[in-house]
Amino acid sequence: MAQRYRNRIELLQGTLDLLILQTLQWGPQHGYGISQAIRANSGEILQVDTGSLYPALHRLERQKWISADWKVSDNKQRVRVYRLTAKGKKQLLSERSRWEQLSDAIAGVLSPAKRGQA
Amino acid sequence: MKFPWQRQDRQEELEKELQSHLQMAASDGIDRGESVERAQHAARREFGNVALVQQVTRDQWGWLWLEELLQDLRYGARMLRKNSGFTLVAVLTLALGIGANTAIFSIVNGVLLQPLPYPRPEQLVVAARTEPRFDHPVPVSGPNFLDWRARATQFQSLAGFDGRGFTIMLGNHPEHVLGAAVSFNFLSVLQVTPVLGRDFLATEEHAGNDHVALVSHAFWKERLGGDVGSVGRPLILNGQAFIVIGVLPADFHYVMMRDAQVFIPLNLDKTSRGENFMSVIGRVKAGVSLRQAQSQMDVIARALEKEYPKDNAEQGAIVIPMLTSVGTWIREALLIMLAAVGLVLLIACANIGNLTLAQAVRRRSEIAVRSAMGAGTNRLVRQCLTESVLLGLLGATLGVLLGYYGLQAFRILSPGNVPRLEEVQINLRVLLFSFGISIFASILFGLAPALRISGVNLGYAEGRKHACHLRGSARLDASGPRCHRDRAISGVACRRGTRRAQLPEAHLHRTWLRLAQSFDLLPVTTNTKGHASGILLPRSA
Repeated sequence: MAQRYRNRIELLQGTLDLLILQTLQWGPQHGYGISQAIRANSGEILQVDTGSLYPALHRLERQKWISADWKVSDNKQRVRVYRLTAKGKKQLLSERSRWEQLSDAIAGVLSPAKRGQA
Repeated sequence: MKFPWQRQDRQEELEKELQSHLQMAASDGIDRGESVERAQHAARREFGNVALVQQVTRDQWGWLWLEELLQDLRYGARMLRKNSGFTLVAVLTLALGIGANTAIFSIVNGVLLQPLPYPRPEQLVVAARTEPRFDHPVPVSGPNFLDWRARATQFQSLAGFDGRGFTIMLGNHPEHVLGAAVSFNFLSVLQVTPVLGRDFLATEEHAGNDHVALVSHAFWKERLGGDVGSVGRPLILNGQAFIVIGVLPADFHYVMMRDAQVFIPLNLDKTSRGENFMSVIGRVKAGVSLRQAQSQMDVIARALEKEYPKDNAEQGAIVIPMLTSVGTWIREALLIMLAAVGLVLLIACANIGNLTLAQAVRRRSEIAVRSAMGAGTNRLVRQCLTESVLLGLLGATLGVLLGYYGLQAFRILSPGNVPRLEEVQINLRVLLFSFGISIFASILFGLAPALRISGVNLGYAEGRKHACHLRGSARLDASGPRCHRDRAISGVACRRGTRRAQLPEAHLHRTWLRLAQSFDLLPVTTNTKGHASGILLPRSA
């Protein structure tokens, strides 16, 4: 566990929100599913800590960007499923564009030559 | 937003949610071909500390502050009970300070601040004469008053008042009562009407019609037997018969002369301009400011000075709000007393501050352990202040009680010339004041130990030593703690921790939680909260 904490990537705050919203765009999903999806879609690189995932989910729910319902899963288990709200979709768009700006900016800083050519 | 009473349900929901996560993770493991036990263990290890995840998730719900406040209060109450000697001394000290302040403030409030007991009291003023050789307002003469009344257009009206004593004959017994001669419009200036009978008429200010009287409700009840028929009957005042024409309301009294029981018309027919004996009150017109009223009175006074240079040379007029005028002579004394009791409270605060500081030193290891288990500095400071405020509220409650008796004592001991003293009471405003200053005081004396915690952060340093890195079970796991075994609480925890270091994490969590709960403090918030991104790389990366 200590090892795990040391290996954490310090991503910018709000990134997890973005990842969650993006994941929910493919359809309603429960917490475990979200963490699995993020892990799979990042090529097994990103592993979401549950101590961050659930607070984030509940925070997003409180901000009404996502909503939650109890559903029965395929293997007959009661699970709490989150879905993206209309407000959440808007938020996703704005967060995405913010992220893209940021990553462009960072890319620019890391390789100024390319930017000069473009 | 969830309300506190819904929390229990929500807590269970969250638990189920996290359990379902664990189950799904475990069944995925089984699908991959792991044994049931192994899969469950792996899922749990991957998940981390369930209680911790619950805690940090709950933090997102709001209302946490309320829960923490209740926790702090409970904890504070327990601490105060535990240190009952300290609590007793502190509460008594504080109660004395608060009590003195409550008593004096209730008088200040009743005498100087409470609105006068008449309609639209802010319009009421006292008009008086000024003369260079006096540094305070002085009485007015009859003719000057009549001129003022006739010319002062900024006022609804001005009325004259002259306090008098009467000898009344009730049967064959002469008795002395206090009363006043007032101009016919005196009651209309105060906007008071008799409950029985009628007010004076303008003509009754003059000889021939002026043998009429209004009596107070108390006088009517006690001396006239509360008889409705007594209105219209004569009353012998100073050997002359006056017809009782009306009875004043039960709650009426004249603030400048509370004992006045009998009012007769003020006949100014035979008074001279140089004979200054009466006081004047007035009611300014709606929307007229004190300054406007004053400037008009200045104009009138200057005109009268020219018209009657012999009697009115260098004489001005001054308009004072009636409320100010009532408390004029006692204002200074009251404010000095208020300042004095304020100082008493400050001294009390300093003393209690010393006591709490000593307490804080005594409780250093407790604070240290709490800090080591993840209570943030903010939380500790808040706990400290909560205890002080609790102490303050206890002190205030007792203090208000003391203040009540103090006020009774003041009433008995006062020379009897404090205006409106009967009106003084411990009302809502006084209570707010008392509790306000008690909270202010408790923050004042709670600040010293609180600052000590936040400044030096002794908790952190010592806590690491005493509580053996209880911050995370992972640490226990990895390093194997060394600890001071002589420290009772932390020592037990440590020994337990050492023994269990090899056991599965779940056990450790339980031990840890139990320890945390024994301090009435759910562990952490700070350590996991700090991990903003919460995204981990797998161990191999």
